[in-house]
Amino acid sequence: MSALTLELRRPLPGRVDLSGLRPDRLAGLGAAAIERLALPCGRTPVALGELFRVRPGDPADLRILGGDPRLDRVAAGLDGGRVLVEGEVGWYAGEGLRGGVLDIRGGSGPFTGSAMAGGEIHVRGDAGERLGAPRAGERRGMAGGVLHVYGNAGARAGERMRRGLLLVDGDAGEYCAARLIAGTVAVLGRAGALTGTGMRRGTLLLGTAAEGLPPTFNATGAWRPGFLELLIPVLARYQPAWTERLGGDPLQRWVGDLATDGRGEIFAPD
Amino acid sequence: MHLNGVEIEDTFAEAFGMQATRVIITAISARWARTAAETMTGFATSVIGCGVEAGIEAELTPAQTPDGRPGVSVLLFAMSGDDLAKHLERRAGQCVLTCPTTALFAGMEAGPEGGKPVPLGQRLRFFGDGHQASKLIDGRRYWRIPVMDGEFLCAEQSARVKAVGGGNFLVLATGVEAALAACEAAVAAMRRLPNVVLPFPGGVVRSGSKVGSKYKALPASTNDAYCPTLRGLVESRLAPDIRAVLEIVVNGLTDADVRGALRAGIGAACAGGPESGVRRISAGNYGGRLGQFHYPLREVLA
Repeated sequence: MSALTLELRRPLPGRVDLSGLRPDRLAGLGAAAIERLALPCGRTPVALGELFRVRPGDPADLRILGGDPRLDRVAAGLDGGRVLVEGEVGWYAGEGLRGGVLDIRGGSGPFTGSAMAGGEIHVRGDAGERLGAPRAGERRGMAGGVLHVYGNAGARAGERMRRGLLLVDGDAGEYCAARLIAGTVAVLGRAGALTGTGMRRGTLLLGTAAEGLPPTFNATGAWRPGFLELLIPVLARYQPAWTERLGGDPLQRWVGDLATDGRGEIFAPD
Repeated sequence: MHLNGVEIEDTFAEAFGMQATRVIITAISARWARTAAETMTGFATSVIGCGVEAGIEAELTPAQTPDGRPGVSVLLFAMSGDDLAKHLERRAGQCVLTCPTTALFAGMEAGPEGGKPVPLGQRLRFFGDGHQASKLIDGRRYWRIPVMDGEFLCAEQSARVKAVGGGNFLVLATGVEAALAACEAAVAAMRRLPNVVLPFPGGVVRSGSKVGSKYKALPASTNDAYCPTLRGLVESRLAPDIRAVLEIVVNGLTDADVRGALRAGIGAACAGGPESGVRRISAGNYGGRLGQFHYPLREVLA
């Protein structure tokens, strides 16, 4: 069965919430029924058919052709199957994802993968600020799964993360891994100012020599812990450059944030 | 039936259902991995006195281990899952945690019939006194316990499977040198096989036992029917030309593993023919009432 395809017909009239388009909710619906679905768009819902041309297919293999930075909450709450977007998406893409794969062949807005708990999100372009981070007022960020940004990430990537793996192939903005509770964040490029602020536990791997860490991190010297040999092959599955970047030699390690729990750690090459 | 001119007695080996797990120990060098494994599998010959039966299954190349260092795989067998958990944890804590540069990994996936996994780092982590850290990598939890040479990396738990313990055969020879040489050849052949260990010293037992004793407190005692010095005193099973008997005991993960190991071992023991001094191959059993697994020698070799 081929993919269920939604092709954007025209520019969006406003911000459109796509969180309802999940395989479990689309299962059993014909093309006409899908076109009639109401999508929240500002104060007035719009029929899906007005915005998208529908080509029926397997709802567990959903393709959205033609992105738009105002397409919000794409694949939010996804619990299986695959959603592919050929283009850019807006805010909260993959929010609360629990399973399946969200593949964004473009950039994504703020709060991508917010509080996701499983599955995988790939952003082939740049991601906005607060990658994986909790919504305003929420306590927990990412709680599982893999969130991989091929480009750069905005400020506060991985904030309040509890579990899972967050990879950024490019640079990360300021306050990367801020208030991290646990889990693993890996930034191949540069991490911005005040990286790791408020970090309680967890691991931040930097592929580029660290600069400007908060003063509440203490250096523990160069060292190569055994678990890296298990972790690096996993990172390399998403970005092969990690193998060479963290290869063979001891890494510099800092612990912190000593202003809080202080059991977090940052590794970077010399 | 004869194999290479050596008589194969029409009897069977009797073995028991056990609970087993495999762990992988890695270290900075093969020597240190082996040191930890030998320590961990020391004093693990029989569940009667040691609580657990264990042995080194194989040496592993860096490409075969989880962390890319030289390693050793160890199999441990116990009569129950609780026993296995208790002794594994004790040995991991005293023999592997303590050994320089080692890391400890689960060595098997849970099968469909697997019981509750046995803990490895699950409780050992408390040695870290609050500085231990867990890492979830590819869905598996590991513990990082700070120690004086860095960190002891230890898998959270290992899978547990049903297994077979106590497969055996007896080598009856004209002298102890001949019996030992045949057993050494058998041990070498059996140790090349995966999924089995020979828990006794060098893989060989000289104190074969029977069930019961004249002393009430003892559950087992010397197998007098096979003791050459008791010929003429008890109902001996030894022909006049037999001066020494040695036994090889094998534990394996499955019935087929034990069967294959017995076949390989008996074949190697008989390779020299009767001229080597090996005259007869027998096996230990308890009349078939105690163990769930029977290995009739002639059928195993057929």
